[in-house]
Amino acid sequence: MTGQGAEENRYIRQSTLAQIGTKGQRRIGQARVAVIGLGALGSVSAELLARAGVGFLRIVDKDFISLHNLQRTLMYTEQDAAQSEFKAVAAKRHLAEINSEVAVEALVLDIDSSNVEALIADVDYVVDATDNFKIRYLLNEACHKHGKTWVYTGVLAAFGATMVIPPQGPCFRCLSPTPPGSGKNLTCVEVGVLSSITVTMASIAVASVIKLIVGGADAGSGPGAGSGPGADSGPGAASTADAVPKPGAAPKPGAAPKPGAAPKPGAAPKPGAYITLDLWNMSYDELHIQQNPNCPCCVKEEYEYL
Amino acid sequence: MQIRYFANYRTITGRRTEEVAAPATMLALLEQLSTRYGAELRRWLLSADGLAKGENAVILLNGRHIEHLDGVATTLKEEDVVSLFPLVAGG
Repeated sequence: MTGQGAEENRYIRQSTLAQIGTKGQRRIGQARVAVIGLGALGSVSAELLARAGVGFLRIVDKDFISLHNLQRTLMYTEQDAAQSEFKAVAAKRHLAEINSEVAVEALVLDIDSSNVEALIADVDYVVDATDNFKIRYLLNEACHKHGKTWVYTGVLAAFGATMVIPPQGPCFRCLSPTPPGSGKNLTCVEVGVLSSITVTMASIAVASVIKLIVGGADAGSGPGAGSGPGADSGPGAASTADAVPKPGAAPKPGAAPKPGAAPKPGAAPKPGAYITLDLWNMSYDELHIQQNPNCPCCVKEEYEYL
Repeated sequence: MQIRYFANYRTITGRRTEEVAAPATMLALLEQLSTRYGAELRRWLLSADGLAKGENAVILLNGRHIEHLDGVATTLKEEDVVSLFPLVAGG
């Protein structure tokens, strides 16, 4: 069903992008991605990946759709909420309507240590769109064990954060050694969440996945990857210009990459780059998380949560 | 030393960064900042008994989480950079 002509026609605005090209589009079409969680982050991530033409999507969530989800979950409708449909089931149906060329496996599943490895072992990349730390610590270990890069994303109120976590680290336990407790005023249930931040953070996460797919290499081994912990401009430094073109920077004559060329240096997500965004105050920062030389997960391969 | 605030810590403090004289330990710094900016920041940065970091606080010393160092007993130097932000779970 996916003839070359049909593919080029559907994805022409994407494959025209110098950073993607026809080779990149083919890689996207061959890619297998798992989206874990189908709330605000996951519904947007899954839709963007489907529209981009990712070959296989595994979408996982145990919950059903409620009316209060509709403020920020773009795919679902009032009818889905009225029928209390499972998110995974409704998402699969909507994704089929959006792009029937994408193979979608929908799982209504409570993720735990007994099943997390099976969810990620046969995909190329994993998008974390969960709403809790328990699953993130499981994903962290499962992805490291199976050599998968995953993308952490979290939101609260009007701010959010994301970090690409490659198998070589730094990993989520380098960012936070142990799961935080469920203290007061720390969840979207209690302090609320701006729909724009969930869409924005999901978009950044999907952009990271697309860059990884098109680059054809995990963060750290691809072009433009940082040279490891400490590669930033200073201790704990925050910077905003490493991964994005400088505004107003004039392209050099003849410097534009040919379609399908590897991403330009600086494009690949850097290991340890923790991006934090506040849409209410319009601030963007990138911190560099250092790897713990004694990390139980990404250094010692001791999986305490699996 | 330099303190960098992110996410809602910026709203609470009204600052992105500031320079302070380095106290002896991280705990002394967290206590100092909590006293300066009040109960809301204290609730994030410190445990209820004031003897440990707050559960959701990510506290980096020169890019490394303090739990990989000596925790709140980590000693500080004037050239250090401390980054403070909450770990967010929402999805």
